[in-house]
Amino acid sequence: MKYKILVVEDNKNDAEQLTNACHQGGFQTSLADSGEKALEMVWTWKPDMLLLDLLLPGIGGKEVCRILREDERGRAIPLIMISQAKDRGDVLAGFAAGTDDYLTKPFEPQELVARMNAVLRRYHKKNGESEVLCVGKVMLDLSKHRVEVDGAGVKLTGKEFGLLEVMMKKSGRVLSRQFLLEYVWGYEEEVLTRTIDMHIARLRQKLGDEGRQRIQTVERFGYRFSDE
Amino acid sequence: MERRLLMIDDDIALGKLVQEFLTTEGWSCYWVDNGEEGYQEALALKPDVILLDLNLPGVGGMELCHRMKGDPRLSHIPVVILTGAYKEVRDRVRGLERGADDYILKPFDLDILLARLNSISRVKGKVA
Repeated sequence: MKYKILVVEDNKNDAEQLTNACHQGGFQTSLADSGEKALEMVWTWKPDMLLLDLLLPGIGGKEVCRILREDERGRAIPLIMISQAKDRGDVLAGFAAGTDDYLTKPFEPQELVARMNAVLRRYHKKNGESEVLCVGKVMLDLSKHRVEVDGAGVKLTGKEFGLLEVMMKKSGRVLSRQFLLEYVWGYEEEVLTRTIDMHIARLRQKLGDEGRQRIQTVERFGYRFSDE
Repeated sequence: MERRLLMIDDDIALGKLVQEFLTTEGWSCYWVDNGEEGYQEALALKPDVILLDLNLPGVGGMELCHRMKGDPRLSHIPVVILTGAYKEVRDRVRGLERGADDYILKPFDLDILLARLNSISRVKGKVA
């Protein structure tokens, strides 16, 4: 399911940047160019999250946030303020109004998406609830640290599990060896990129036909976990 | 309602400062200075939020975050990374993608830290 993100921004360039970042992160978007329109769309379009600029024509961003947080349904909508205002007073006022996170412009699209996912996790994850990723016949349960292919359990090492987790989370996208190296091994350890190739080969073997079909090599770059 | 925070950081002065400040703001604070003890303390305490440094002796903070998020007994507890060492965008993205709920750079403003913790615990209180 694609999360629906309402981008509330009156500046066209900023709106385009925010929308592009959301699309890169796999989100669906709609745009509101004023506070009034945002409040209307919250009830009609029913977004899963708001990205809210503070300087808006008419009702400002902080006021939009305050209005939402005073409403029972509005309190359940994740919200991130994105503003040029960097002073501690502005940040504190944003949190006092009820924002879940506060990013200043210019922002890094990757960080925005990571923060959006973090806030969405916060709202959608209940106590003890498992986080399960499914692509094709492969199922990975993060909370139980368990992997199944077509219902049958597969034993993986910690690094293999980490590799599969990041590839499934970003299924369909090409991931460089460097990225995988940093994500799974971290910067602390000196690991050769060849090590990744060895782990990928073992992962393919353990996941059988499904692994060989889905884990695709992108020559001289890295790997992709196909979701097709 | 009592809110409990576990801080895992080997910086003693910072640990005391945060502990004193948050206590006056209604938080019960617990502090340990290494990852292994932090993991055990998290299991025993089940705090509302964990404040986690990355440069720790023994088990590193990133590894610890990943372990806690993979442990069904702890995975629901929000983790806020607090670091002065890993400041690049790729570090922040990696931390958040590894399950952290927030990523704060040192030096930080205590009032903003409090605002971020309150925001996280507000949502946690609602869904948990």
